[in-house]
Amino acid sequence: MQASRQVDRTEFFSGLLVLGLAILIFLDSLNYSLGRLSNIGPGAFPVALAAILGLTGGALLVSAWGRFDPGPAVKWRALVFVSLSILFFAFAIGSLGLIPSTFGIVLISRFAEPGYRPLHVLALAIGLSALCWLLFVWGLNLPLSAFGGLV
Amino acid sequence: MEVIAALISGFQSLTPTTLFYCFAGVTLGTFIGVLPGIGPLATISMLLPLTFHLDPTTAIVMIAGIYYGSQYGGSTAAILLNVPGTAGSAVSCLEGYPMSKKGRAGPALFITSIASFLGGCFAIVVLMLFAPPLGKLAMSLSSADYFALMLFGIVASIALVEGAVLKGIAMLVIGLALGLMGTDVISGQQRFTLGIPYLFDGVSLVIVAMGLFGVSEVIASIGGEASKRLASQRITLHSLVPSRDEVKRSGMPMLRGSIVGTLVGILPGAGSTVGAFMSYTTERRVGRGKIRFGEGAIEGLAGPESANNAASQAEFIPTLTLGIPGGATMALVLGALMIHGITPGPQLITENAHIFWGLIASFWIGNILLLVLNLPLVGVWVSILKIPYPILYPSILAFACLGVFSVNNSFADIVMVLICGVAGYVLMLLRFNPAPLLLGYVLGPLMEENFRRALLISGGDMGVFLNRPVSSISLGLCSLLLLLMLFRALRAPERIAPPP
Repeated sequence: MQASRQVDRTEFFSGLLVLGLAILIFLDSLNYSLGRLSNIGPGAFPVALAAILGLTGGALLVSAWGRFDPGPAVKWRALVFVSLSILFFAFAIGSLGLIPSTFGIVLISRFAEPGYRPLHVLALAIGLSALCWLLFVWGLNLPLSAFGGLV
Repeated sequence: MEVIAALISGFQSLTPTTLFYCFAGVTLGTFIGVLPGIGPLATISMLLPLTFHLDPTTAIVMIAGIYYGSQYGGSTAAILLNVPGTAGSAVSCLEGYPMSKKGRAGPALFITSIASFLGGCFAIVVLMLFAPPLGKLAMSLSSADYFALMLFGIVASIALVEGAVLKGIAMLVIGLALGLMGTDVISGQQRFTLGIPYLFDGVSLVIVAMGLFGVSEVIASIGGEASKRLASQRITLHSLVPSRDEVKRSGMPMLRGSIVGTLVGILPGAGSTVGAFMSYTTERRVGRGKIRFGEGAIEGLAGPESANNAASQAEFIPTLTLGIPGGATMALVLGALMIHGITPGPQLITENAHIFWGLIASFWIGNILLLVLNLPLVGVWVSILKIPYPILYPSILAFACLGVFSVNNSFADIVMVLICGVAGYVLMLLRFNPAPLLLGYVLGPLMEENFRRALLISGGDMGVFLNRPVSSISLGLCSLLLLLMLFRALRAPERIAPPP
């Protein structure tokens, strides 16, 4: 099975991604009229883009053979906690208010990196909430309240 | 003399508020320039929502300040830690870090500040002299010309970046497609919206930029080099003073660097990184046999530092006169102008003269501020390198989310930022550089509109792209670049040594 090892996985996945997007764009642009040369429709540009993208994706797939690359190492911990913190913020900002949202985003996102020191994180959350309130509510007059829903 | 009068009117149009944001911009620019792991593109992306609340001149002045300010700060980490603070200062590691190891960190920092200042000034003078006549010339451009120029711009931006041509093209085309998302201006047809009402107007530039460059950058930097940095040296004011020999040796490289940087900056698609590299190559060629490069040759530091600043200022020439951005940062500048309802292009200089000359006046003020900020306060900037990333990134995330929310008070926007951020992280994992995507995103709708309008006017005659000098020359240059890329791609396999 020597042959299967000679694949650059990063390039392979890149090619798959690009090719997949090309197909999606092509399928979606079938819904729009191509028009004529004197009056080009909304479908022409997308079809052209899909074609170029398809060629590029194919070339990437081909270029992946003959080299070895183990593929990317995903930082799951960072990805998960940063995502969770942003999601929390998105849902909290309209209902809980600026200070709980800022606390939440700091406390959750800080788990993304090892070495959680509760007091430091708490101090950061307090300082940052104050700064955000000053900048966005006092400085830019945004309709946010420190606690609770929108003003 | 006309230029002087216009510049004076530019200075007069600056309000105290604008000056404050100029100061804030250059200070923040230096700050993020010094810090490795967060660059000007990420910072400007994340501050874009704030500019909604400012008047257009102030908004552009601040964005520009962050950009050229970061070129000043970028060399600090390069010299002291051998880690470039921004992409444009990667070259400064080559001679700057050896100088620092020899105990000449102070003079290296001093010379880079002076070099940055002179490079910036040179490019601003060129900008003042050439932008207005270029703008007048551009008034006569047709849709066909614009399409051809934009095509040349995007092809050049791919060709000038070494390696990974295929991935560059892919990013660009995905960006172009993303730019088309929403309602088509000409036919009213909705495209790529999947029937979701949220997408009927497309995804806004603010969200795409913040996700791709802000959030994904944060995820990628956590636990990386940026988290473990340590500042080693203390820099005193006294140690900054360079020797007479060092000053003498830096003079000519600064001049050559300024010229090279300005020329590169004017080219669409090439920015400060390419400028700095070309200046370093120039210095090596000039000093061959006389200077030992790689061991702390000040010539190889002064030249590129002038060049990256000159390029970052000169990049405004095509952006402001033609409305064609040279790179991702300039695409953001264009986006910010469009958010305020100002059409970038030749009309900008005539119809919105106060913005154009106000911006140039702010360049002068900003560069002088940067010189003052960088020289006496160098110790402060060095100590910034001690800020641990675990404090930095939660703050970045909080500011970014609040900023996005402040634009429309929409929580869906924040979720969209997260989606773009995760997509950006996946792209980074697969070693794509997302910068061309942003360029494509801004240019996509403009290119399509100009292409369709050109053919609408000509009644479907493709010859319209070849009959006019500007468009035929641009298309000719495009084909040349494409051939060059093809040639390089075919030769590339030889350069990579076969695995044993």
